[in-house]
Amino acid sequence: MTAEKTFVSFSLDDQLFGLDILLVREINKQLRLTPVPLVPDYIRGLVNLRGQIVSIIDLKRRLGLPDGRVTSKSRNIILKSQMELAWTQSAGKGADIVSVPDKVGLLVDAVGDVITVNSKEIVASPANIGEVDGRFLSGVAKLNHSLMAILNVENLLKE
Amino acid sequence: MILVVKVGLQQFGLIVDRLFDLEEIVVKPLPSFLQHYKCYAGVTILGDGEVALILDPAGIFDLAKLAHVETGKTEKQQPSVQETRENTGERQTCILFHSAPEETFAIPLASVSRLEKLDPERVEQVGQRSFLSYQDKALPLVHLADYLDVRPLPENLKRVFLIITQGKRDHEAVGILASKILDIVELGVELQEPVIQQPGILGSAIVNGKLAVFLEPQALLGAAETQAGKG
Repeated sequence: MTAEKTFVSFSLDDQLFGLDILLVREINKQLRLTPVPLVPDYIRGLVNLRGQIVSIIDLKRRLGLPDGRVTSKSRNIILKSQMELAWTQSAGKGADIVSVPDKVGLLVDAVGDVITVNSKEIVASPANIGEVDGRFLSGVAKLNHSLMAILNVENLLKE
Repeated sequence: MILVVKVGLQQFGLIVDRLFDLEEIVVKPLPSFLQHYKCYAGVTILGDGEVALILDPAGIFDLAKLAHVETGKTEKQQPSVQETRENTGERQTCILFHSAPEETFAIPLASVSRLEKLDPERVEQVGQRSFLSYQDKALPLVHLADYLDVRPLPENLKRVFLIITQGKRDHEAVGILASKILDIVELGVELQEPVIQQPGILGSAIVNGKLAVFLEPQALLGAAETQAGKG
């Protein structure tokens, strides 16, 4: 029995990335942001999401990619925090995923399709993909015509 | 605009662009990755839905490395005063000043209403007395050497300072001429027997290594008026 994994795909510039769908709470358009002075530049600021404080991380900056502009296609992928993920994991799914302790949203250039991939097509990531630090990648998925780098969010907030 | 903020015994001024309002808010905890930024105490959501950071004054104080700044209010900042065992325990804030450059005088801050700087040309003489046109009135000026056995103000000063005392019902306000204002200090002093026995002199003490003569404004003015009456 082959296992399958489902990902939300998104792009940073022209690079394709994937995020395990179990990690995704929701996807929003640009929200009203309050910047926080003194923090690293990849922390864009805080937003009010229906009464909860969510920190927005500029993923391009965090991964060390060249900065771009926020366009009308930019989206915030709001992640489940580790506590919210625990609910899913207690139901027996996603035991191998680790999330972040806080409520976090990832600012990306564009969101693509939901893609289901056979586990056999997922290989360990090389030390780096392009300019992206291997710490933030948990593998690469081979799609029909392209490669999708799978994001590891565990280290996103750690220095 | 400056917000004066207190942290323990210290104070500092925070420069802000605009003040809005006093509000009661619900404090939400900082995201865990922000918790080591000591200048932030929490986050809140305002009435219009906007997110606002809550500042922690102690954190800002540390961040700005203000700890070494002298404020005159901490224990270490007290000027050295020769204190005897029988300290009266009364602490008084005094202005230290020079009339003649080598002589230090002290006057209680409580009896002072204002300090002014002025061009000596503005002093007007009427007979033996000096006056200044101040706030549409003639302010009598006191040159200490005219009433006490002390040395006079230096000649040819480019500017003099005026220590304007509180005017009361039975005493007019006067301006005491000074060549230099040294400091404002809080002292708990046991005064020694006046080196100079004269009305207006309370006594003396060693402040910051030098002899300071403590003036008692009421008596000084009283003597000044008596003398003026005679003159």
